[in-house]
Amino acid sequence: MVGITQVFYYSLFLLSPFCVIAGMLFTLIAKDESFLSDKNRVDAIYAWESAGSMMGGIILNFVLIWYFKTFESLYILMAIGVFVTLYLAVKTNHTFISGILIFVFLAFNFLYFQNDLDKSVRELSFPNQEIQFVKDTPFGVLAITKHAEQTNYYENNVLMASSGDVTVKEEAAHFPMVQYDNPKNVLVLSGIITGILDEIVKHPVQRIDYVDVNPWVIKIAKDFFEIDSMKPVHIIKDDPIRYLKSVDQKYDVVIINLPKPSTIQFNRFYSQEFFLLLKNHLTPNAVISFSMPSSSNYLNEEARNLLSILNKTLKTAFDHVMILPGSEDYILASDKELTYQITEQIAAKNILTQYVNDYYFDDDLLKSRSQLIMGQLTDDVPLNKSYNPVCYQSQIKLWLSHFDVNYWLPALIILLFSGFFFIRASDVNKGVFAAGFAGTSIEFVLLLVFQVIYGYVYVVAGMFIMIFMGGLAVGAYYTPKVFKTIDRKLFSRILLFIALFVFVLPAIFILLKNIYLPAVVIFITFFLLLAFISISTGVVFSMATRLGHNDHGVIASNVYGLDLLGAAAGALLFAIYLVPVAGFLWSVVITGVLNLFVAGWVWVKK
Amino acid sequence: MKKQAISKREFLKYGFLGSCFCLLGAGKLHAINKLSLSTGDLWKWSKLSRYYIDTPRGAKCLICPNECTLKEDEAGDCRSRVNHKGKIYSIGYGNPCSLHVDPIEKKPLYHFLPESRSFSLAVAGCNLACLNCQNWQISQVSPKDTRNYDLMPSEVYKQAKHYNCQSIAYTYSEPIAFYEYFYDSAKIAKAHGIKNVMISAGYINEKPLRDVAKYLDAANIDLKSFSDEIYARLNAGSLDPVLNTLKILKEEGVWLEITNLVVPDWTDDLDMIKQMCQWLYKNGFEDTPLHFSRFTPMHKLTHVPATPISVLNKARTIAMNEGLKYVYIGNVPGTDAENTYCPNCKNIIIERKGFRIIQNNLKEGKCKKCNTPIAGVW
Repeated sequence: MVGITQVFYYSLFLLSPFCVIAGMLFTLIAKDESFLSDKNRVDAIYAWESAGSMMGGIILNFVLIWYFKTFESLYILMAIGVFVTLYLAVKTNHTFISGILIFVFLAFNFLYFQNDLDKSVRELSFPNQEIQFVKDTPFGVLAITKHAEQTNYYENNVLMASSGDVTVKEEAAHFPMVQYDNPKNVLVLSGIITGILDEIVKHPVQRIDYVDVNPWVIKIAKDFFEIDSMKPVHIIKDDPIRYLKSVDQKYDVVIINLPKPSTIQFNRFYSQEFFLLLKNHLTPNAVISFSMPSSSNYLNEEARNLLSILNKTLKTAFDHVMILPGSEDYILASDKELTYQITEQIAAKNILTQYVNDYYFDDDLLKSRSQLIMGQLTDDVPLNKSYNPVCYQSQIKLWLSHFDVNYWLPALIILLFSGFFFIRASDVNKGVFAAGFAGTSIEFVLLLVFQVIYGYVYVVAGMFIMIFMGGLAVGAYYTPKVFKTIDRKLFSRILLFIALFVFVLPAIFILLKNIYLPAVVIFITFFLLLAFISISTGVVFSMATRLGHNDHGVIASNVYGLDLLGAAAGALLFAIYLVPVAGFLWSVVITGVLNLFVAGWVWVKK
Repeated sequence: MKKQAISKREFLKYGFLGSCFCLLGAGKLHAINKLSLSTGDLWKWSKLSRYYIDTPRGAKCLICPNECTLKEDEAGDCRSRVNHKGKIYSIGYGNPCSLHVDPIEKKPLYHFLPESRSFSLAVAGCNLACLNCQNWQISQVSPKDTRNYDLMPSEVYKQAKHYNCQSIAYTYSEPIAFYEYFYDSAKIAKAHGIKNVMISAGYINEKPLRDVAKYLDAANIDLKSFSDEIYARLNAGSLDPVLNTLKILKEEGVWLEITNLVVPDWTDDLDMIKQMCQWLYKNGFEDTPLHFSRFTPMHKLTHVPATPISVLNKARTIAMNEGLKYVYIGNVPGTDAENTYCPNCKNIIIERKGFRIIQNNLKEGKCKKCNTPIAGVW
């Protein structure tokens, strides 16, 4: 498991060379271009840079991800970079640079074509395992490895399942299945690779609907994991929420094997809204089940908080909730009373199992351990809602507890780092910081609210980024053409405008959540909102470059630096701290207040 | 010419400072957390240690081979011992964070009162830091950071009796870290006819081990690997003290079973396993049950897949070929390697399935068929 310190250092090590050079290049080009054309061209360069980012996004999302491996994509990007630089070097008679470039490129080509770099990197990720299959999909990188006779399945290098693991599949299947007298219709959300379907069919079910958004997972399950009990199974390749919203089918048992709420994207499967949606698809007394990491022999504060939130949220939709400790903590909910007599039921129903039986389980001990956990839960926690994704924060805290790292320390470091530059910045550049913060935060929140309302994002996330970049380009490029006179008052008005827009957003979100709109209207609405905030951010950038009185290079570096710093602070603080702590709506309001404050500051400080 | 907002010199200066800030920032994530551990304040559950000496650098703890030298108010590596006014106190006395009733087979102890129940308790803290720790929630924190019960040694045996347990298991975290509580509870329990079992990594110094051994009835020692380097990298420990613990427990007449967790890519080298088995045989542990336990992804090794069953089977074959008589495979439901076989006639002595006994062909500690004594506490 990778810790936050490692994430920090690896990101710094891997990204710094590119980021530092890209940042320097921006300043250099902005300065040169302004010098050569004898006018301020900083905003135009910013517009071109944003347009380039947008193009990069389009190519990545629609070509590279689909048709190329990671190193193939990198090779293409490098080749483009080399040829553009070569063209410029030849054009300006820099033969030495041309020579070096050609040499480096040829040397790299030799290295690249002699080695399968993708394979080498993968092998480093899976030491002593034989890689049998790797597939880059829009939903993540799927890998199958072999270690002795055992097949392992990884998603984005996270181990998801291993063959021969009877413990997980039997617990996940039979803990909920025995709770219902005679389950006929079962819904399974993800997890086919664990072999859970083979266990479910040991019960006399008539129909199993299996929902998975990634079609490759189903193919892998069939090819590598000997999933043979597919007779009553209906495979549905869709997002679970989209699927549930599109059908009227009722189920007796629902087994959720979706990833834990470690991201806001997955948090939605543990929200009150999702449980209520599920409830509409359940027969009376139906049972739902999912699992959280095992609390083993002690429920630490982080796990206690997570389970308390889930317990309280489930109780808004179900009368009874039970946690059964096994290889994971299995959380069951139903309107009928749930039983601890798991092995008794297994025996009564004559289900043949290897692990979930009275040889390995003592129902009384299971009950006492379960009650011990339930007895420690508290109601003094918030509900997990779509607009208030508290499970996500709780899961982050649980992850951090492995590493003895305080949840709030990264926030402190971010605040000190960005605060240092913010305080030192000129009034106008403070505005750029605030706009950068708002731009990224609102882009993020729009993406998440879109997910809440529409169901899921995936490819749409790429489109959001493209639109945002396009908006920045348009805003920065057309500002000098639209506004003939730019002064501090106009600048602070634009910031005020952003603040007002941000303040209105919560009302829009509540409205969108409570009325039904066709998909096309949802798309258009969100794209317009996104375009609005990104164009405004671009406008602020452009105006700031024209309000500066320094050398163009200095203006470029200061404004660009504060813009990116604001964006970085927004991305980190908003996603990891503000949203989980304050919820979407209040986080948006806080962002608006920052812009309002800076707008007032710029207006007053002349 | 206008003055530039920042000169080249300033750029380099701020750039350098910024980089240092970034690097230190990540380091601080840990450093600041360490402060919270260094608390020497005593509380109700503090007990003066018998195993420390004063040194010019501070009080030196002598419980385990870490031998932490603690300055005033500092806590040891185990997080459960502090220096208060120059004396070392355990801060985990009578405040277990985990109390459960478990089948004795779960420890695992297969040759000790089969099918009995054990009252299991743990106090937070551990003198090792295994990357694969199953109980990381309690082993890597201080007793001050957990929600604890108030259960003084004089009450422990009563709880065991209340739950109809024949033994008390000091387990889950590391009994060595809460030695004083473990010692006093074991002493009182023994006097009241309750047996004591220690489930430990065995990373303890000789004197405290010999002192507590007289109250111990059984122990399962986790021999984590047979390599000093792996012990250092995987567990923050070393091999020799653990081997010494095995020898001492045997000398002291404590019933001993050994667990070896086979972690892929860490401790699954079959040559190393062979060396380990050879050492065990050579040192007279042929009658000591050895459990090869299947690793499941845990704590900081969640990316490492579970141990393939064939690897465990190979390890078992190696151990038996080296002369060890009772070799088991754990964490693999349904395997035949849960059964006890007579080392002489090879018939099943005890057929197990999980924590239950299906058939028992043991009579007065001997094989019913060939009368060969089967080592254990039956």
